[in-house]
Amino acid sequence: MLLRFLARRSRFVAAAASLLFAALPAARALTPGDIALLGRVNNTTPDTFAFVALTDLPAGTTLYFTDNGWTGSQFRGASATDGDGNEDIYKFTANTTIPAGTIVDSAGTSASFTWTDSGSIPGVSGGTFGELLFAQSGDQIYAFEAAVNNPLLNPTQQIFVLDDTGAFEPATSSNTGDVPPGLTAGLTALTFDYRTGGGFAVKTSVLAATGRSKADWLNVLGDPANWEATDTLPSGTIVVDTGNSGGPPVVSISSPDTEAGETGPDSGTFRITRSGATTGALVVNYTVAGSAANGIDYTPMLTGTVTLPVNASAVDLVITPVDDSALEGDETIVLTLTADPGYTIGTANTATVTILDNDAPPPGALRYIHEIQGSGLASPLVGNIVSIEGIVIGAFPGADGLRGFFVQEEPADEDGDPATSEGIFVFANGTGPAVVPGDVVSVTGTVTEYFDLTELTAVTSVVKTGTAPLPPPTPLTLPFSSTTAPENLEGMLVTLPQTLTVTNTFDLGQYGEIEVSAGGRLPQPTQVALPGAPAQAQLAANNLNRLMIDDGRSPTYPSPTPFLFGGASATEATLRTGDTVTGATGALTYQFGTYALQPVAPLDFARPEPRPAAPNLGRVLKLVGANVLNYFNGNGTGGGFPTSRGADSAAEFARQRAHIIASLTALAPDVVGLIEIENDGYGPTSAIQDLVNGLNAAAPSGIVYAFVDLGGPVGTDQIACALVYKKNSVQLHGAPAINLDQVFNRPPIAQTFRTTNGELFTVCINHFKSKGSAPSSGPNTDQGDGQGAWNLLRTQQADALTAWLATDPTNSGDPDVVILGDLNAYAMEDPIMAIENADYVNLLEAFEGPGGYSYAFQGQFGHLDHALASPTFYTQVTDATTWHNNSDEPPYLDYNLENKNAAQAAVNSGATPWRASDHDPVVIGFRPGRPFRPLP
Amino acid sequence: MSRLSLAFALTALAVSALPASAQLTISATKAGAYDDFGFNNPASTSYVTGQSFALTRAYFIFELPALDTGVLAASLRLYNPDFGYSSPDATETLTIFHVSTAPVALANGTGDVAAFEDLGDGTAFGSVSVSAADNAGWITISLNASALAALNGAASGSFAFGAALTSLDPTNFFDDELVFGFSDYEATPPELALTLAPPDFTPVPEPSSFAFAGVGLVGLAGLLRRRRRASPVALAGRVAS
Repeated sequence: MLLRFLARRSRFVAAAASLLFAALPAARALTPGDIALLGRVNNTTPDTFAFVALTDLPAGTTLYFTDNGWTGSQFRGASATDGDGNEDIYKFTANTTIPAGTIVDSAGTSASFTWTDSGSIPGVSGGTFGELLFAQSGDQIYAFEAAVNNPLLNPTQQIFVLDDTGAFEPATSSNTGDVPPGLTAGLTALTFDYRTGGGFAVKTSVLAATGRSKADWLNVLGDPANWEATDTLPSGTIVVDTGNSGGPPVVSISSPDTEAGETGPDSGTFRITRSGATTGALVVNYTVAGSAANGIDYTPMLTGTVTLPVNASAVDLVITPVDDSALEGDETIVLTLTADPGYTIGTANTATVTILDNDAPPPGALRYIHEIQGSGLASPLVGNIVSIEGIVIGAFPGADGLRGFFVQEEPADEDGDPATSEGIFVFANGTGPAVVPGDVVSVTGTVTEYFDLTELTAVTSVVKTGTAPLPPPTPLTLPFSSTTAPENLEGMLVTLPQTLTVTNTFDLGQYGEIEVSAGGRLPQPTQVALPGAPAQAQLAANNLNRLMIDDGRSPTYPSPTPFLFGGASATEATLRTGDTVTGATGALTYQFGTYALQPVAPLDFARPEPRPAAPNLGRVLKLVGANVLNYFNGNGTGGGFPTSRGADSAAEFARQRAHIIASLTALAPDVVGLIEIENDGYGPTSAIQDLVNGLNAAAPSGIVYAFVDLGGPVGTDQIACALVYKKNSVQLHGAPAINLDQVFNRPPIAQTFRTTNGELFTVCINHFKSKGSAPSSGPNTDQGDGQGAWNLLRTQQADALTAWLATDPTNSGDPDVVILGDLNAYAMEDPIMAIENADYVNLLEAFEGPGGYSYAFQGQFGHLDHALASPTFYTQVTDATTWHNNSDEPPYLDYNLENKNAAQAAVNSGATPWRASDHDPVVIGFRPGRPFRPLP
Repeated sequence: MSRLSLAFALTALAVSALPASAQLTISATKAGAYDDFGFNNPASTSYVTGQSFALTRAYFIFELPALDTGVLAASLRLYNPDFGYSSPDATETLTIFHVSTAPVALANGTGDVAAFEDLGDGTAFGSVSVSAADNAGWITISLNASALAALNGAASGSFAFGAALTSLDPTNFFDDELVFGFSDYEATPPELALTLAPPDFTPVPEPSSFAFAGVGLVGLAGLLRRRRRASPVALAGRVAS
């Protein structure tokens, strides 16, 4: 596992209002929050900001903006003679009514308003108007109304302040840190931490909402999650529900101080807001729910009604917890607005305040482990100092281990409740003597949930008191009934009685982790189920049918690599997915969001499927589709490393080349479609020439490979597709065809071949858009249906491909066509269906059945690599299969030399075919001429 | 049938001393291959012979002119393309066989398994050792006396030869043993080269009737023509195998 992170989340404790009923100030010419600042841009000339009118601003409205600081009583430096206080002041005048919702940029110009950024300030002898210039170390923008003469010295109404230093007026300024009078922190006085120089603003997506009143908007803008670093200020308009349309006001509820506590006690605050006029009082009804008892766990008792007074657009309900001594855990108060003819309930109709419990048993009190674990996901005793007694069932000491051990309750002391675990992890971190399984220990420490693992931390005492037989391990079988089903065994000694299949070795080399599943490798959902609900159901089933097995060590790239089939000294030094393990026994822990077994004894792996020899399909022509894992040969003369996508060094390329040549030579293809070869043309130093040279050097005497020459680089991507053929088996028939339609990321290449017996067939090699690099929105983003990002584009590529092939681009006049390649889509996904609907047969599905695979991702297996044949080609196919020389092998066997320990970098050297790529080659056998099977 | 209408190259060595032979070279009008399941694609132009993904034997069809004189010698010339020979063995033996199947059936792909069998059995007309050195070149097979007899006994019209590799290794279950891979009878038509007796040359004179040689020749020629007319298409039944 990874090194433990020491960082803990810090709780944000909001300042609480001290009044139970805190009516907001009465309206004046403008009231606080009538405008709101939406962001600012630093580092530009001039620096700019934007605000939005949240009510109509009448013609003649004059607003001042300054980056001066509020000292608690006035703007710093402003005096009877100094009009700008050595900072900047900027004047905004509305020439016409500025409608609510209008966003105004300080750099903007309009007939509707005028910015005054120069000239003298009336009533003073010093200082001038000027555009704001923000400090790199953080600054603030105050919006206020003021007297015409010397406005900085005579503010009449503060409207809004936006601060980017994380605190109002940082300590470097000579001030009090106060919020100006009339403004409310979190609503009309906002402070965020964006001191890094650039710009920040409200997210554009946030501004698209409708139906929000001024109060709603102020609540939204007060949420730091709605802001982001950006150099683009919002523009245009937003929709402000002013409540002036004749309808009732919109009432909303929030909890600006959502966390209360018995300690202090620390109060919590609900806030009820209304839109529109504040000329009358408004009675709002609500219900009280949650686990806290009204009037007992907190005061005052909430009555179910609250009145917004005249002139108040919001009212706060402040509750104060009762500091009792009950061991009750954290409790909640949930207020939900209820309907009344006097108002309409807004979208924010419910809010919650949580009361943190501060009660604990006496420090160090002896507890049963099942009491600590409880029957829920989290311990009811979090934060308590407790002592336990039990049997060590697994010890993983030291900085290279887990810095602790697992303790299980002695069988006689179990509570017999299957819902409560009897085991717990002790994060001893060096405290106390070394322990081994079978030791009986007393441990004192603090209960915590470490990333949802219940454990004892801050351990003060570990005492060995004797030894005892290990408790019998509890059987644990896959699949789980729910994602949290094993919680009742967390920390306990368990055994996995089933024969489980290794389904994931992706992290074996780096983290010493594998995943196992019942019933074989997990299928990629869209390999076996239609996109949408069926695929989601398959994914859910997969997630219940996988368990991590960890090596109980913390270093990355552990040496020796754990879990190797045949042991660490085996020459293969691999664990293949598909290998099995029966009866694995260890402590069940929870880490990185998943349950995991920490074995207490070496695992005994079996290999029901040996490393496969290259498929021998007999006397047939062999078509192979092979990914060559970014085959970049440098400059072709031994230099030019690192390459942009492939090998970083000549040594890496030598490894890559040996693996690729070995795997292709073993396959002895007659035609091979290559994917991910460097797109550097066909010259003597090109990657394709290098690969063909390698194939010919390795081939038996007389066997000659050649490539299909397109004349130069194919398209503009760094990698290309290519076709290589054995001149002994096939010859070119006519010229190749290439499709440079922009829909393709990498152009398809088609070539018609003539066989020894005079038959023609056409191979088209493809590499569709990958699932990665999802766009943030639009039809090509991940739709959540299991097909990943860019599914629409891949489907368009599939349609364009079959339409092109229907035009006989190679002028063969022959109907035998096969589509090869990495289509970056699994068998049940739209692009494959589109090709099948264009009357092609999915050969691998037809011959392997639905569960075939060429690629493993997140422990799930499916075919990204395909061969789809026209009906007449299908009649000649004898077999279609996949050589699992790659996808079943762990990634550390690949050519890369980085991110490995020395042994991992050394293993699998030379002319071996294993993990030559991350994709498996697909192999099609066919006999041109006499139909071998009827039309589909 | 008129001699003058025949389209063939006749090389009469008229300037040499008599008796002079004549060379006649005929290009095949059709060639192809049957596999051991009796499959032939009539549209294919390849006469690949041997074992690869299929086991095939080839046929070659020539349109014989009416031969007014005897055939003294004959050879088949078959083009073997680059990579046309493929075998783990240094050499293979190509044998030409007498064909019983009707040429029209061979050509239209309806010969079935019987045709495959026919192309590789019966009377051998000659054989040759082939190797990789024969790639991208012509392979010439001198035809034997049986072939000459068949040719001399044939009527004008379609005449077919069969070809098979007779050296296939029964223990080889994987590697190709092949000749004429990629062949294309339209691009490089197989050729039948005939050495014809001069018009006044009697291939099998009767010594006792030498004095009547001139009369005999005329009579024999007339007799042959009548026999041909009597059974114009019964090639299969005419020649013993």
